Amino acid sequence: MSSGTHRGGLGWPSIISEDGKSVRNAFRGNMKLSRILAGAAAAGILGLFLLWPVGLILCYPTIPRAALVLANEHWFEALWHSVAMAVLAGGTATALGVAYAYALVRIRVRWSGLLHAVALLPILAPPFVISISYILLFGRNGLITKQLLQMHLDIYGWKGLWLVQTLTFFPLAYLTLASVLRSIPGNLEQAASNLGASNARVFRDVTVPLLRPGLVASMLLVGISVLADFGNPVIIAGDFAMLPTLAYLKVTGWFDLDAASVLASLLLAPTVVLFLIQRVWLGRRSYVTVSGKTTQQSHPPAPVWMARTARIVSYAAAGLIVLVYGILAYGSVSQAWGYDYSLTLRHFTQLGRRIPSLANTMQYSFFGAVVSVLLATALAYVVTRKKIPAPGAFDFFATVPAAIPGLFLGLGYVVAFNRDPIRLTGTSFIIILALGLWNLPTAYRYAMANLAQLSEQLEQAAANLGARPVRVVSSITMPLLRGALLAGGTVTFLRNVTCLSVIIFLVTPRTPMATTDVLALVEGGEWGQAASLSIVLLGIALSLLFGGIRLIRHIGQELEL
Amino acid sequence: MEPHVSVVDISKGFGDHLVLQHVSLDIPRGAFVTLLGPSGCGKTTLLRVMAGFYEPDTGEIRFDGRRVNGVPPHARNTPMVFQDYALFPHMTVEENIGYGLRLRRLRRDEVRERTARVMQLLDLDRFAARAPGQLSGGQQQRVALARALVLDPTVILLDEPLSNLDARLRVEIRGEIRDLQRRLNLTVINVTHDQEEAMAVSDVIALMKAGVLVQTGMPTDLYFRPQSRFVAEFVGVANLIAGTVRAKGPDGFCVETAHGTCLAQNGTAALLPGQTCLVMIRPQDLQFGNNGQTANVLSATVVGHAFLGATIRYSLKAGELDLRVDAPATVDGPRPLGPVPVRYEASRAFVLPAAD
Repeated sequence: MSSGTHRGGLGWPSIISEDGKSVRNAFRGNMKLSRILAGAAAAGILGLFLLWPVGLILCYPTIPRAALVLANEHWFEALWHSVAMAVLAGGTATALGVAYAYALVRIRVRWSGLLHAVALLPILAPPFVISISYILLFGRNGLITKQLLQMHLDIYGWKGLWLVQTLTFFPLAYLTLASVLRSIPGNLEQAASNLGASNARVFRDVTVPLLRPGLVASMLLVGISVLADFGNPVIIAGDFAMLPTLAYLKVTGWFDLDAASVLASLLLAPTVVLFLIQRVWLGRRSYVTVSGKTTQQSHPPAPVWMARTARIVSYAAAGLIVLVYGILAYGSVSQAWGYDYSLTLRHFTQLGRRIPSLANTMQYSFFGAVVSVLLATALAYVVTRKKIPAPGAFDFFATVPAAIPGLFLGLGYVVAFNRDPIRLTGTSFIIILALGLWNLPTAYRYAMANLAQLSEQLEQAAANLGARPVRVVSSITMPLLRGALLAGGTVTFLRNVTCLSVIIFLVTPRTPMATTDVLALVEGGEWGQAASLSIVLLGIALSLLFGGIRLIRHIGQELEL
Repeated sequence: MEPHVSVVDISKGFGDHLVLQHVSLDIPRGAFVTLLGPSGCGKTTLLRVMAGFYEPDTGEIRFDGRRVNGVPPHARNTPMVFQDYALFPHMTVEENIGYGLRLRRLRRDEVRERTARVMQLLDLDRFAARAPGQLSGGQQQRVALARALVLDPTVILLDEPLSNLDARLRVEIRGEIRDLQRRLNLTVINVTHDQEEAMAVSDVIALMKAGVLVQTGMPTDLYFRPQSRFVAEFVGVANLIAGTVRAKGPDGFCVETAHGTCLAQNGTAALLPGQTCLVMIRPQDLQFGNNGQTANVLSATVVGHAFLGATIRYSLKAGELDLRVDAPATVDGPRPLGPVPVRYEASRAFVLPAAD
């Protein structure tokens, strides 16, 4: 972003002929003012709704009170557990992701399309669904543990959580690595083969080294997600203390905001470190991911051992995911899990009570997506076109929410907006804004990708033909950005529907939402209800996705997750 | 002498699309052979069949008389320079060049020594420790060439490696490659769509169209004795006058055209009297004025001109027929537009079949 389109400080004046000096100066003066206004507006919104709540949590307790918390709590253990889990799950999810991506992209195993769809399920479904399924299989009343083996296992703890987090987040690794694999030019591998490298050597000398930055990227991405995840630990971790769950207990059990703030801040440290590594180090390291251009060239065949491993692993992983969602569906139509497996629809009919929650979820998610998309598009536009002072800083703050655990942001909103001048606690606005800011990076990514493809010369051509700046935006920029707006909107909407961590502290009896309802049902042991509500949420997410895909295809583009 | 590389009746299809149809070609040892043709003619596919990236559907590839069908690419020893160079981005220049030697399990000091020698040959010593991405296009091109040359190959394949370079560099590097090829007595098989490049460097050109080899020969053969309209027009600029062969004798052909009688010393041997044909005259072989001749004269009108440096290219109309005439440029500038007769020598006209 630092060079290339940037000419003479401003985009516009370069198209105006030298003899129109006075026109140009007037124009430049105008642009300067609008630059400052745009900068001030963006800084105001990001400052108030992102930096203010985050800063409040970081500075919430006074130092002596914070020291007291650190002296009394098992914070070190929780921090260590959280980090260890991120490393473990980051490693296994990436290993699984490599095999899965290799099987689908390179070997093109049978039913690749189906396998791809299956891998998207954990991304689309609420993240805690796999925990529910895991308990339905292995819990005290689990199908396997009780019905098949008649044994009692203590499944709560780090091993179960490791498995669940691996399965929940490996699709992120798969998607990352699939795109890296696709962007390795076939010519490079063919060149090695041409110089005398056997298929195994090609894999070792070319494919693996070029994949390495992707592996790191995948581990960082999964690591951040696992660190920030709240739903699975709260259901599965049991006595295995972790930062998000401990902070949650401090608030709900003791309303101890001091402790919660300190714990949440401890959680922020590792996620921000991973985020910075991702941004700074990886940006310089990638050989092939930069362009994102996929190549159509053919590749030498895969080494036999890799082909075999990838095939087995991918089928096994897909099978496991199908089992997870199958069990969830079975749970939603079983009379009483563990005792009576006769089929019933009563869990779904009883969902009538949840209609207000579902309605709220849809409403807040939609408006949250609108906030994300509008803010992201405006930011992406002023950043790429350099119509703002210090575009690099705004770029950073538009992506940094990705490093902020949802729980932390939610807590920040509770503390920041429960008093004058901005009193929002208990309203729908606070939920909408929190979701909107939390998903800003997702929408921003889509907007940036599209804007990067949208040549500034198109806008300059329109201006050259006589369009005023407003007209340029309305007749050229916006129509060409429609795809990005729809894609960003679809994905953020979908993420909002299944989000738990951001809203857990923000919902009230007056503003219930579906995912927190599921958590309450799980805590109450109402498995049938929890499963059926999860199925409904998954159904909503899938319909949103397919609706979005159709809408975007309608305007001639493709939705990429 | 046995050909170094033989292509014997090769056919290759992708799905329903036949990319190569019954292509046969013998490549002598130490020759610089160019596969020339418009994009999509199958020339790159043929090169990749030789390298082993594709297996032909029918036919054989032979190196020194030995059939190599089914031999995987890594066992063929046919180093190739790729169109986009395909330099390994995670290796330095030196590591890129030495990669093939390391695969052959040579001793480390031998790898270093041979790599150094080739780098010196191609003036790359200064860049040894750099990453390929830090080099200019021309330098990357040299690294790709060095990576192939270091293996002391007997045959080397070039897949349009010059097409990504700017015009000046292209001319410079093609000269270097031709020099090296002569000095090292290499067999080079080059692919290009640039007829000028093909003519400048090749011993033999194999011209392809839609998967078929249409004519193989020395550059001067293709230029002065094209066997079809496609060859005449693809290689250089051609004036083509349609007519019918009236008589054929030891002195050449007599052709009747709408623009008068035409005598030509040379032509396609298979043409018989009564058959339709084309008379080809290159632009530099047409001259202004009738010089008292009656045969081999066209009455035409100059309608435009372009100054090309050494010559001026005139556009003329003779009825419906478009003609181009190259005349030496003078400081006085081009001749005025308007009617003028043009003539040519019988020795400079060539008769070829009208049907393609």
